[in-house]
Amino acid sequence: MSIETRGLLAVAALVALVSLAGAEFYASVLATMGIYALLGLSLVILALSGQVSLGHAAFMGLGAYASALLVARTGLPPAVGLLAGLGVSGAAAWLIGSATSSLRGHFLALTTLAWGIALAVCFRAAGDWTGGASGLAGIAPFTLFGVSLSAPRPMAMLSWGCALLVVFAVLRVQRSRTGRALGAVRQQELMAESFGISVSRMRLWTFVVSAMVAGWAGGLYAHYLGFISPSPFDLSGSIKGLMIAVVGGELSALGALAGTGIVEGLNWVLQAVLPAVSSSASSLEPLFYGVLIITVMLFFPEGLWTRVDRVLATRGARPNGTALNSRLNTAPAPGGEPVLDVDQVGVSFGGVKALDGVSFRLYAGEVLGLIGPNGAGKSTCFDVISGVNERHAGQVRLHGEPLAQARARGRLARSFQHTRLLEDRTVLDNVMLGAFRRTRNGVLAAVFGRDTRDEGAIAASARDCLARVGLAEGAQRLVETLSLGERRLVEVARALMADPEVLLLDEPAAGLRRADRERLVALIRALHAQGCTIVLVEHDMDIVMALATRVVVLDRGRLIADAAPAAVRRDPRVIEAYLGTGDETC
Amino acid sequence: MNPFKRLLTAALMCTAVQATAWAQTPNKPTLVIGVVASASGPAAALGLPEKKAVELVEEMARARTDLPFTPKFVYLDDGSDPTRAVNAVRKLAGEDGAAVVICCTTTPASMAVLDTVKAAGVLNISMASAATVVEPVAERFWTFKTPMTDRMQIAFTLERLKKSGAKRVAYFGLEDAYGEAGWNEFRKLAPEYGLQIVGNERFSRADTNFTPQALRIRQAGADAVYLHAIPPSSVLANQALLRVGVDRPVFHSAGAANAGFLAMAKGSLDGAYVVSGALQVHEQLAPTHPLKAPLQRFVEAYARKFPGEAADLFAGQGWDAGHLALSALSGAVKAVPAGAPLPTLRAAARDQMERIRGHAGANGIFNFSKDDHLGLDDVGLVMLRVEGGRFKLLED
Amino acid sequence: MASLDTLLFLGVDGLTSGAVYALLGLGIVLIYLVTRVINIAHGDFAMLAAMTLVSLEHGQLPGTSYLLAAGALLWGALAAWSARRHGALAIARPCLGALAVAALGFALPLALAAMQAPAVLNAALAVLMVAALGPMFHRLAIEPIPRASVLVYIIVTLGMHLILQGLALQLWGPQAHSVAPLLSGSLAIGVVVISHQSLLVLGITVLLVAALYAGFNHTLSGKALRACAVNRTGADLCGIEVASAGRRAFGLGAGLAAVAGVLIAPLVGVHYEMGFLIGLKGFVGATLGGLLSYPAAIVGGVLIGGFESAFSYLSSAYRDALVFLLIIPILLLQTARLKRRGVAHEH
Repeated sequence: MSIETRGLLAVAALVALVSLAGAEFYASVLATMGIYALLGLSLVILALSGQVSLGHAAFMGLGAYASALLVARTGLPPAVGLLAGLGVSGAAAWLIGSATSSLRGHFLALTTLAWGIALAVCFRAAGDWTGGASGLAGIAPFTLFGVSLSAPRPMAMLSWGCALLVVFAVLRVQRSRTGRALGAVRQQELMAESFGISVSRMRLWTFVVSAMVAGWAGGLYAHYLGFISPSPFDLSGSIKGLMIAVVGGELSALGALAGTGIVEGLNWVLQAVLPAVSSSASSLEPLFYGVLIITVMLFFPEGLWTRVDRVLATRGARPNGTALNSRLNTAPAPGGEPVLDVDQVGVSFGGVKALDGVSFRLYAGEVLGLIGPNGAGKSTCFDVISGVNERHAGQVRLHGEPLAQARARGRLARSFQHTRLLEDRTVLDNVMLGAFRRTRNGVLAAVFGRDTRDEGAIAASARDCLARVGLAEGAQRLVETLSLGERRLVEVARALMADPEVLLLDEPAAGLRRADRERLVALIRALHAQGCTIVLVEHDMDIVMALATRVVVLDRGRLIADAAPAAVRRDPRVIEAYLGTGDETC
Repeated sequence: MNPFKRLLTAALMCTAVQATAWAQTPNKPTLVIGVVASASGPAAALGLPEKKAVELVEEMARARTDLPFTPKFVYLDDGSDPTRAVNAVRKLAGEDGAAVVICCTTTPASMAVLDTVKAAGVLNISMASAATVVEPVAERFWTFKTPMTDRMQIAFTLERLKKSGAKRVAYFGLEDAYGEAGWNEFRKLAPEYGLQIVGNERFSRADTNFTPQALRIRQAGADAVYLHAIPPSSVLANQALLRVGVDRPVFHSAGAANAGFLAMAKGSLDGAYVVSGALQVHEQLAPTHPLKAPLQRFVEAYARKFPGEAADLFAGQGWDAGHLALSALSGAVKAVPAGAPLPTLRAAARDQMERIRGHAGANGIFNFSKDDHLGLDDVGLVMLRVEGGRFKLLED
Repeated sequence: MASLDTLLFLGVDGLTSGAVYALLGLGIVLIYLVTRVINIAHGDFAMLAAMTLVSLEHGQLPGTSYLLAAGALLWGALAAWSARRHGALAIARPCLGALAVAALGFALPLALAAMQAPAVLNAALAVLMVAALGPMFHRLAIEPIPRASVLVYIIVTLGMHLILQGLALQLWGPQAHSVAPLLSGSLAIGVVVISHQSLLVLGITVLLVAALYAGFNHTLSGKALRACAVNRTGADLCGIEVASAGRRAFGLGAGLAAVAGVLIAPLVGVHYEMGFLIGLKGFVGATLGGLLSYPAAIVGGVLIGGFESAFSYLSSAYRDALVFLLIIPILLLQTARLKRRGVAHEH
């Protein structure tokens, strides 16, 4: 963190130096760069939530036109106009984002293209309001105590100041609870929902914030040039922003600064260098530009700054503190009321009954094994209990409370068989994600550093969980370097972080080597000894028999046995279900 | 790669070259004329011929011995982007120390640089068509322009339209700055000529289907259609009109007055009217026409330097801008003492520009004044008709 | 009120535009399905083919020959470099191949010019030359970064777009050119006149769709291409050469764009910026169909052409805004439809 702050201060110093001491032309190029850096940053912010936009220059245009028109009509100072521009672009983003929240992938990209073009057309066609294709001239400049800030030198510092502020905020957020949640929204939607992150809300809010940053760039642009026309805010402008973001590294805030340097700077370098070669070479400038951009992408396909970011992710001091209070510390009363009550649950897909009248109970401190041959409905049942599948007959209750409510309060947590971890983050960050429901710090808390204590507590708890699963020394490793066995352990640790009443483990031993399997079995035994209530879905009979205190067997959607492991092993119906009467199972 | 280092090196090189030039010819100062044209982007069809014509002027200037200074032209491309134009002018006025700036090809870019040329106190000769570039004159102290305004061309056209007996006119034009400027003038002027506007249809430069708009115009029952566009759209739009059965006279703007229009039309648009600068049909001008000789010289010089290409009205902008810049600077160098600082020279150039009278250019005869930074009347305007696949000058 | 004539005109011309967008959409879908690259420069392939045709028609050497030569030599150099340890023959082969291609790129146009070839041959050569650029682009700009994200490929093709447009501006200037139609004359349906060239566009589009459908569903190489799109690694493991599939897809895609280019050139004139907007609309039409299948790309393209026609009639100033805004509810409907079909399942 401090490395990055130092980096930002260095950039600020450099910009100030060039703006004040260099020729005015350099300041003027810097000023434009700063404004476009904001546009690139808006796309980086959006990319953090897994979305892409091919129409963000339209938000820049909204900010520019809103600010310019407001100031022209009412005579309010440009700073107020800038805020109005932020409001207009944010409101427009809220409307558009709410309407299109169900879209993903190419459909989403195409939608952004659509409204981007539509808005740009409106800027041009509504000529009576916006001045049309010939543009709006005479826009008031920023002034501070009567001095115009719209000259190149002060503007370069102002626009870069804004850009660096945004970079700082983004870096802060990325290290915070919201940052982890955004990573989950981007990479693992299903897992995010299971830990209490509202994917649609996060996407919408990220969209709005990114539109506001683009609108901010637009406002600065309008009052700097004193003249706006629709052409910078159409598809070519959006593509330029996209180029800046991608060249620098789509997910990298600092990368956007590097990207702007390349994308804007290349233009001027080529125009300075080419005429010296020959006069016909100078008219080939677009060609050389294209070749250079392709070359940059061939050498840095992940973006210029991504590798640096990755290195920085593993460094960075982690906050520390006293661990959060945990439910698990209080010893539960064994027996008595069931913790989980599954009552006549049925699920059909089309005409197929995946589950039919399944009922069983889970008591505190138990390890319940859920087994059955292939196609028995184990996964469907697991989905119902973990809340993924909400369309089912019958009821599931946790301590008498309906499952949906209990889930919302974080009383259940699950691991995933196909591990759903955030690849580009450290093990510690991934585990900390599990505590999403346990604190409330949002973006503002992160930016202003009000979340240090809570983050410290979460980090301490996360280290404890890692110690419990036996991965204490791997806390700072990037997840993409872990083996399958280690990844499963991280899944369990993350689920533990959620401090649940019931731990749901989804085939944790599948595909593991013997050593890893033994580690896993030891862990689950230890958790059982500590009083955890666990539901375990597994194929491996040895593991189930070794760990479970009770076993529930499903076959073709129906419950055929519910007893202690030894009894289940001898049950003729179970044997018939597995070995079959001529059908090949297993 | 550090872009700033490269830029710094390049800038240092330029300054060094300039310094040596100064040192070598102490009697004849080297003055920089900065040129910003749209050599790429949507306006390249206009900007490239402009740039080429200025290059021609540069070549001719180097051969001249009567100039009291050595001109050095610096060319920058704004890519049809007003933001780049502003930075380009800043560079020319700052880094390159230009004494005169020629900018820009498009109206939005010319408007965008108004504040910049004012802050730098440098004469700017624009090649954009809208009247608002030089009006109101009080606020356009530093800016002059060479092309005939849309207003003059449209007034000229409407005059003839009215004479042909039309009462209801439809506007069919581009939706960009060019088309919009045309519409704004058309909207204001048509009532003055007693014409009723019955349609306003638009299209973009890259459009391929003009039938819907043409159908609307047919529906509106216009007596005549005014088409404000450049090829290929102007050709395709006109063909669309014919195809849907609009057999009324079609009047084109000066954007269609070039060889490209005829080449694309391939004889299908005979009977269309095109307002034009006299340049396009200079060989059809009467020998007594004041512009005949200067236009001929321009066309021949252009053909010599760029074989296979014919000078068009856009090239004419560059030609006029270049020559006017040279005239203004010549007067300025003579008016100020030797070794005067750049700001004084720039101010003097601007004053000299305002004093230019009777300059015969490709657009007409320029008579600038304090109240008129365009300086043209319609001696340079002609009405053409397409006949047999060629432009025929109409006498009236 | 719109009369029957008007509707007929709007319908016919909307259909013709739609067919062009559909043709371009076909190529975009093809390239995307096999390589996961969204080709921003697709429309420029069409433009380049049209420009090449202009030069060929005037009996001049098209600038495309130089582009082909540059691409071939670069490819040859790269192949020779990677074969440098395998002996002189292995190095010589790609070099000779590259030289042969470059030489052909010059010889064929000159030969056609010398024998005053008919328009059809000129068009065919233009298509061939531009189609050959496809695999070159894939080899030089896509293959070196096989695991890049979709956005990175978009930026790379954007660079290609800048290169092609810049080159076209330099070689053929900013003015518009015209070419003779392959089929002259026209057909009258009542009051509506439709040129034979437009009918040719429609006919060839239908033919190509049918051919693609047959090729991809009934030939082994077609199925291999589809396999690459579904699962790259899986296809690789089955012995399908994924890299060469990418080159073939680009070649075919560029060829389709080139066909579109030479077909519409007589109808709309040729200028260096003509490619981007029609490519964009082709992309939009293709994506409406989910970027999934050829018939869907056709329908999407025709829909866009139709909307355009209708909205141009209703409000020409706002037509683009309306056309693009209308896409959004269609996409929402498509998403809802696809969601109802399947539930995302973990196992």
